[in-house]
Amino acid sequence: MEDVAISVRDLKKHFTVPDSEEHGILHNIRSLIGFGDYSVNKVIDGISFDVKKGECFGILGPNGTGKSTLMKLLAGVLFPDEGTIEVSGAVFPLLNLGVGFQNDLTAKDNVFQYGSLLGLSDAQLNNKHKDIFQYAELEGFENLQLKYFSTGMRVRLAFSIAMEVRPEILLLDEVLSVGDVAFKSKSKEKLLEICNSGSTVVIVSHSTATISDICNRAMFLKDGVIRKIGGTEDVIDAYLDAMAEFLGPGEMVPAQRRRKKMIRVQKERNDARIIAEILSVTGLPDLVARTYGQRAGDYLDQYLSLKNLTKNTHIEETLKSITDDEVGFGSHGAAMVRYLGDEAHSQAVARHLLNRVWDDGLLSFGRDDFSAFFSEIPQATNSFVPKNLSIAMLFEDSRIIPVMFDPRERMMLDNRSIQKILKNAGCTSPDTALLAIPAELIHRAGILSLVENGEIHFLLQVETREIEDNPSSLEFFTGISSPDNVLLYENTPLFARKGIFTLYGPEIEGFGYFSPALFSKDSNRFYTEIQTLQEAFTAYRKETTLQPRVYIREVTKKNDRYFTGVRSGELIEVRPDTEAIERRHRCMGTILLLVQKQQDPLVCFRYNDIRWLAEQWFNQYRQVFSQVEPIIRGNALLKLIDYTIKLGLKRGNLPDKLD
Amino acid sequence: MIIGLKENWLWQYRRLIWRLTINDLKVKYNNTVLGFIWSLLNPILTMVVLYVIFINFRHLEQNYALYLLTGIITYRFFTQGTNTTMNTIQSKASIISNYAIPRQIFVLEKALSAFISFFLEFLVLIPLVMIVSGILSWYAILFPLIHIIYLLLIFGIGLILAAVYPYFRDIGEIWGVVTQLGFFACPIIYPISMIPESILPYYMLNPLAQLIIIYRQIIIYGELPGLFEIGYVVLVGVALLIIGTLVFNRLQKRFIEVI
Repeated sequence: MEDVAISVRDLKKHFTVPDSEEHGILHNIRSLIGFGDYSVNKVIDGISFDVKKGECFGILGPNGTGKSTLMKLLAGVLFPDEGTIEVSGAVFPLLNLGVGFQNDLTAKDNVFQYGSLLGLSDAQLNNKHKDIFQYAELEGFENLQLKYFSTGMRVRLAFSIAMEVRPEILLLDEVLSVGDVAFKSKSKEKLLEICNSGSTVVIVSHSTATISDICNRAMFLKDGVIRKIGGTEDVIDAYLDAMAEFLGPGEMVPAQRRRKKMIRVQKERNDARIIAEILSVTGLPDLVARTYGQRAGDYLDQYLSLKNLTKNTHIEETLKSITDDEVGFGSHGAAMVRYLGDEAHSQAVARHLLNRVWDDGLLSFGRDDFSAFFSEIPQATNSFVPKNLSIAMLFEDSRIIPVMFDPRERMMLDNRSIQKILKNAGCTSPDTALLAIPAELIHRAGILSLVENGEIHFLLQVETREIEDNPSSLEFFTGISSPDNVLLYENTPLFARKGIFTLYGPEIEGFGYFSPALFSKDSNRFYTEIQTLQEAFTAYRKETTLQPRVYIREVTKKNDRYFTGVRSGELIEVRPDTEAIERRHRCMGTILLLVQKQQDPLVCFRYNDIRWLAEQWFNQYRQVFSQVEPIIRGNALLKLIDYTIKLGLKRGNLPDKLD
Repeated sequence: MIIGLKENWLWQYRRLIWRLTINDLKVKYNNTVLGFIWSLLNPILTMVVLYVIFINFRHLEQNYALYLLTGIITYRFFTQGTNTTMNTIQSKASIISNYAIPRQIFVLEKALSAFISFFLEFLVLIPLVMIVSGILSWYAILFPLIHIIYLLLIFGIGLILAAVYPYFRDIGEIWGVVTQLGFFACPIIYPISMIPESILPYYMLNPLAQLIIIYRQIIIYGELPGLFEIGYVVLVGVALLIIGTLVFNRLQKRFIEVI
């Protein structure tokens, strides 16, 4: 067939594994003539599939399942034992970056050698080598021997060369998993560009996100056979299920968690739809833009694409009039900047935002947000050079792990370098380092992340509501911008002010409490605070159907340095015995109020979000609002919204009474 | 086509081969302080040592020093060429397991790089010695042609060694012994006249012995080498190339599984 780029039929490949331990001459001779004590390891055990021209095909599978072998077979590096592989078109395998670099040669020589290995012609290399150095941001290093290059420089150089190749069929093996966020997003962008230019791409990755973003079709390979082939999402589901099975009951692989998050995000988008509906009915763009601030852009995009509408000019204007300082950090900020529409304006805002972060000397982004920024607004970020070493603090296993971003290398620093820097600054451990950082700075950076196995799951994000001195106020439990964000209060630097933060997981939600009292020697103050909080919580419980569990960790002298160390895994696991939780959390200074959810986890924050809107909205209809039965306010408001949507009501046309 | 995989790889990849060879030479000579000078010093020093040890032979040959030097350099190409090509698959393991490029290219790269350094040695040393000794033969211009025939031989052997080595490392040691013995099995230090009449026909089956004689003919004696002798060496070279290609193509399929 004409439109098939790769056709694989009954492909089999096995490796021989010696049973005995001998490694002498006999072993070698035997292997040469092919007999002896061997067992056969069937790595690829009879698979058939087609990849169409112009398709982006993903291959998923656990380690040691034959993915790389398959790629090498497709690349023509390995040869099949049985079966056939037919390829129409020039194959460009990018199984590793920078293979073929020679340390003793200069960078320029290496560009030519590597380029030739990748199949670039002399003419292309002569024309392009300056661009290559420019793209890799390595101008001036042309005549330096490669051995003096850092890892980051090598990767950038290799990638820049590889991207000059315009392949008919591109084979990629986990290449995207190297480098820092900026590089990753850059390479992902390039890859999408290649996909869109009509090349056929086969990609092996452990990242379901990558597969989901890039591929049209995918295949799940396990133990040498195809478990599932077809649409990307189906295959990813099958893959994640199999991986979870492997881990045992109750566990979730990180990707699965991310996926749950994705599903939640989709649900959240439904919310967005509702809000957008309300918006279209009521015509209150200003209100929505201000209320939903950072998320408005996102919501509106969603809505407009749903409705096939052009951008709402009212909203656009409101957004345009938003000052730089009103744009938040993180993904919402990025979404908002994107929505600003006018390129010059959005770039200016983005640059301002980034500078604000860097001037503070602290990294105020989660990795994802950071990469979101890089991908949303490349022009703004490409010209952007951070001024200082930037630092963020991450939690891991009840310990604080600082993360530093080196502006010169555009790379996260490794742990050892950070330790060194901290030591020079007179900090003996990362924990004391955090304490040594002025509270004001932490406040301004406003972000703390929860990390597990090096992956960020939760962010503590600072937001703009004052905590009232009266903790019994339900304002304690105000909104959270997204389920994976954990929230503090912007005007509440960790060590100076009190703060409530909320944690959401798929199964439970939790509230945490920060207080400077936790760090004072007077533990009574702390207990008083907790008591008030408990009362507040009990009051809250009366209003909600949620069943709270309260967990309070005692303050002891031994660990009074630590304030929290909540591992995200525990947040999604509800354990019957609080003892176990207590043991695990080991987080003095944090009260975790774990609430087992019996409802749709979204109800809660939808309630919070919409309530605010509704409160503003119905401000002039207070009378109507007061007539609403004192049931859960959220449900009432949801009903209101449902009403609004169903009846297509307009402002000033609301019913007098709700049932 | 016997040499190529599908199309003519030699032509298709000529630029890559050339670039790899040049870079190989760059690395080789950049890593030592004296660089190319070592290449020249080594055979000269060997020659001096052997000259002193076998000083008695000097009466048997007109110009024993030049006689020795030609033999040494010629044989050096053989040892260097075969030893570096033998290691090809090992030293290029990462490239081989990542790019679908005909692997003969890398064997050829190594052979070519040895070829070029040997060529340069000849180009510098032989005229030098000829000027010193006053011998000058116009037949020396045939030297590049003979040299290319020699390359054919080296490449053929190189293919076999490179293909077998990943499976059977002992060949490295074995080959070390073979090249050492070979030094004495060739007319390098002694004149041919020392070989008994009865053994001579068998002795001359050694293509290296033939090559060394041919080199001496054109450089020292100013004689035109016999067509039969050249023909014989070419024949052996082509035969080795064919065998080498067959062996290599057969064994290369599992290279990355064993390296």
